[in-house]
Amino acid sequence: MTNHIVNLVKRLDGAGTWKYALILTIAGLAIVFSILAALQGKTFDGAYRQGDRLYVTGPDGAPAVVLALRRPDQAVPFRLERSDIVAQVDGAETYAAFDRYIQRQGQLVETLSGRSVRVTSVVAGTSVELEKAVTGLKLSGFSYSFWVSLLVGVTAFLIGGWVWALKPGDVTTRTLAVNGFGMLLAAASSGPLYAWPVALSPQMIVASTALNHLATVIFGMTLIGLFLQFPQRLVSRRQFWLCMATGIPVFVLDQLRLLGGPIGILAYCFIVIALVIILIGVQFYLSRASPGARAALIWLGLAVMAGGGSWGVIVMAYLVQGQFHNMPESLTFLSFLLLYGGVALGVARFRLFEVGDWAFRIFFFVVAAGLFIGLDAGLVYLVGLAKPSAVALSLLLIAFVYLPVREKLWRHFVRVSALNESERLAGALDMAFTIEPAERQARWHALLHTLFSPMSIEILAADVAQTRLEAEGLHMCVPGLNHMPPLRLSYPHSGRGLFSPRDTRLVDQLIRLSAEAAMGLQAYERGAAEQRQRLAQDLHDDVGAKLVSGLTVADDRVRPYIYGALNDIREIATALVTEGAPLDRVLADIRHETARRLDVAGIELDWPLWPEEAPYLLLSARQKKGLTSTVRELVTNIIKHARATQVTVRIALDASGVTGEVGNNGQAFPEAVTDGIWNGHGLKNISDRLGQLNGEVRFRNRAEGVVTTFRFPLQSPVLTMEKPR
Amino acid sequence: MTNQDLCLLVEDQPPNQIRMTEALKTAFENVRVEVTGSLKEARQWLAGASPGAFTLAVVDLGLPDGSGVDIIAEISTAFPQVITVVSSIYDDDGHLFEALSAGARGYLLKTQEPEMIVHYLRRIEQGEPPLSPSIALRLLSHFRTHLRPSSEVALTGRETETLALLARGLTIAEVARHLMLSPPTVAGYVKTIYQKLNISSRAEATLQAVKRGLA
Repeated sequence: MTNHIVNLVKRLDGAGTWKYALILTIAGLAIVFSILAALQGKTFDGAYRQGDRLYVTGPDGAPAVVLALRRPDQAVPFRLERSDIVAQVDGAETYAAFDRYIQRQGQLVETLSGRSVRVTSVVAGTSVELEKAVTGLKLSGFSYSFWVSLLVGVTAFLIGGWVWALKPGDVTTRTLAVNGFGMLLAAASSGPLYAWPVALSPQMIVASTALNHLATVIFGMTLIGLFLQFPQRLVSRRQFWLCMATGIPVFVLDQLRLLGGPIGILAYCFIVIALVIILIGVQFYLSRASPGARAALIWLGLAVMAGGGSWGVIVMAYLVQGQFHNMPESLTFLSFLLLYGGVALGVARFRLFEVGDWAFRIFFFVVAAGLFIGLDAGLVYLVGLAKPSAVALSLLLIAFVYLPVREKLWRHFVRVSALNESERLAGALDMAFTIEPAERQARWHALLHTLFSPMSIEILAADVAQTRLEAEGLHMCVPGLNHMPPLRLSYPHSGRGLFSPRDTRLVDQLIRLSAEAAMGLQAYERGAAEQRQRLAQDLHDDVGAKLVSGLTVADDRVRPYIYGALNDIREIATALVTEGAPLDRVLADIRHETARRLDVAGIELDWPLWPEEAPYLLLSARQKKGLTSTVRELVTNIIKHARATQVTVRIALDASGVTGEVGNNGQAFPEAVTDGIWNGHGLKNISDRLGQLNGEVRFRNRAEGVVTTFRFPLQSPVLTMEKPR
Repeated sequence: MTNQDLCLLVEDQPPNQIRMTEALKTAFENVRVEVTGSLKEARQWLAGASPGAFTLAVVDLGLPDGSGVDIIAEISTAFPQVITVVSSIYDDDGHLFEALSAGARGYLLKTQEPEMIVHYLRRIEQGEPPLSPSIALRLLSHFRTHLRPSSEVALTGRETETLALLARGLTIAEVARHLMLSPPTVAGYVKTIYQKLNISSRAEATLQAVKRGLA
């Protein structure tokens, strides 16, 4: 977390304050410009707008619809029409209607040019004319539409500007910044109209509308441009600029009134949304191999569908009802802000790894809302139910039918974890209680595989302090535990998804569980080890010392047995205190001992060095003892009985276990021995030892000398990994 | 070692005193053995000994009045030309390494057969102290972790190579064959390694004492 903040501060530092200053200045200028322009609107005391009607506060304080206005020196009053009070200037169906609107606004401004105005309205059934003072529009008189749209425009621009300042060199963020500027310009330019004055000068209306259309074109083109290059570049830079340039003819045609009507700009918006949806589809297909890009795209797609889609639905709804000119503009702005926020977050790639959950959450919410509205409308219009009962019935249906389905879908899509809690617990304990390190590691990997199906698990050399996500969730670094190295998992869910903070929490939980289990086990082991240590010490110090003392008084027949017993005590004591040893060290010790003993006996030894590049393998204490005493016993036999001058030893490791071959050029074995019958203590011991390891031994005579071969299996597969240094 | 030489044996158990004396006499004909049964006795004898009085010392680790490691350190300081050998029933490298750091030039295991003990004694006296793989490993890690490469007592490349091969179970003669050197040369390396271990251990002990404000 701290890391994130530090990084963010570094980024802020690196961005250079001038960029932030520039963005804030532009936003401030736009606000001032918009407010100053809106203050040009005219109104009179007690006037306010609602829908397409103008009201005035009557003498009794009750609102009355304004029918006409007259300047005190005018003979003919200006009769107000509903089309004079519109929220959407672009709602005019024809250019003629638009022109008429502007012309009448001119007349209205004229009517309001005096110090006061006579207002005709109907109060208590009788027509009255009230005299009201004419004023300029005041800041407090601005409608909420003005503030909402300005807020949305400024917010969008600040988000876009911030993302640009974070990554100034990126063509995507530049496009996004221009896109945000389009939104700011659209909001600022429509301010004078959205402030809802009673009248606005024709020049202001024309200028404001033109500027608004220009801003709309900028916004639309840059939105398309954004998806031409994000997440993947679809066109060359030249083609990109060509696409952007198509905005110019659109704007020119609009200004030349060649788009069929003022509403033409609206058609343009629909086309843009449709194109963007197509582009998202293309990008979605292209990003199928790149989970990061796809996650970003899910955000964008979601934002565009939610923002652009809801805008389309709202506009369509008003158009179908023929009420578009009365549609509150702030609605469309809010839906665009939703779109915009999503795009900006996607481009900034902020917490992309959480996108999966949120996308589904929002999606399910939208589906629920859509279903509710659809059901409600269907019941009211098709079945003819009364409104309150329709609402109640829809709610019930949603609650009883949709919510359970949603729960199922949520589990299916989001709760990807293949194991339930008790299975996870079992997995963690199973791993912690596995004594063999190789096996334990294999189980840990298997558990991680079952949970996340990553495409790769890689052993890290550097320490990992805590579970963390890397590259926006493409990788997850898992700390080492229980003597196992730290890991990096990459490309979860077979490369189709990203890791999320939920996954790190899950891993943390597993690590905690297995650490607790391992601690319990260790405490037990420690106690057992202490006891074994004491036992070994007593055996070695007391029994061993007595036997050593006995050596002096023992005769020659007893002495070999005492040496044998001493060797056994040493082996047993070692086996009691050591858990096991690496194969290469065990072999080094046996080789050293063998070389020494044969040296004393004057016998030559041929035993090649154990290769350093051989796989690292841990023998259990039992295996170590079996291998050591087998070789020792064989060498003892050779020294005592074989009358050999040369001994060869070969030890090898293969997939199934350890094989050994001890040969000498001395006397042949008696036939009974090669047939598997032996009476000597030593050979029987060897056979027993190897039998305990599920191994076997064979004695064979060769043309020259004899050879003993033995083998024993290893429980766990041979682990290939770097030797601990 | 000439036949008139004297060997100091520090060993408390009478049967072991007899066995070791026999082994020494087998290894070196007509050698005289001075037997002391405790640290106290050994120190008394050392106090009266002249510098050339003895050439070999065989010291048991577990003595009634303390650890043989102390007397090994004292001998290697006061009589640097004396070869000190550890005799122990412990064969874990922890005990032995401590004695080697104190200045011992070799070690014998009491549980070994007399022929082996005789063999080892002869080898040690000839300057070819045997080195078990686990001791070699310990030495390697000691020099790797305790000393800077620039240090005077750091191992040379050849010495490191020798230790690495000993750690893999070769004898000194086999190491010599492997490196295409003469056995005395390799034995010389091993002797140097023992000396360097002793010097570096003493330096370390001094450093520890300085740190604790004792020196």
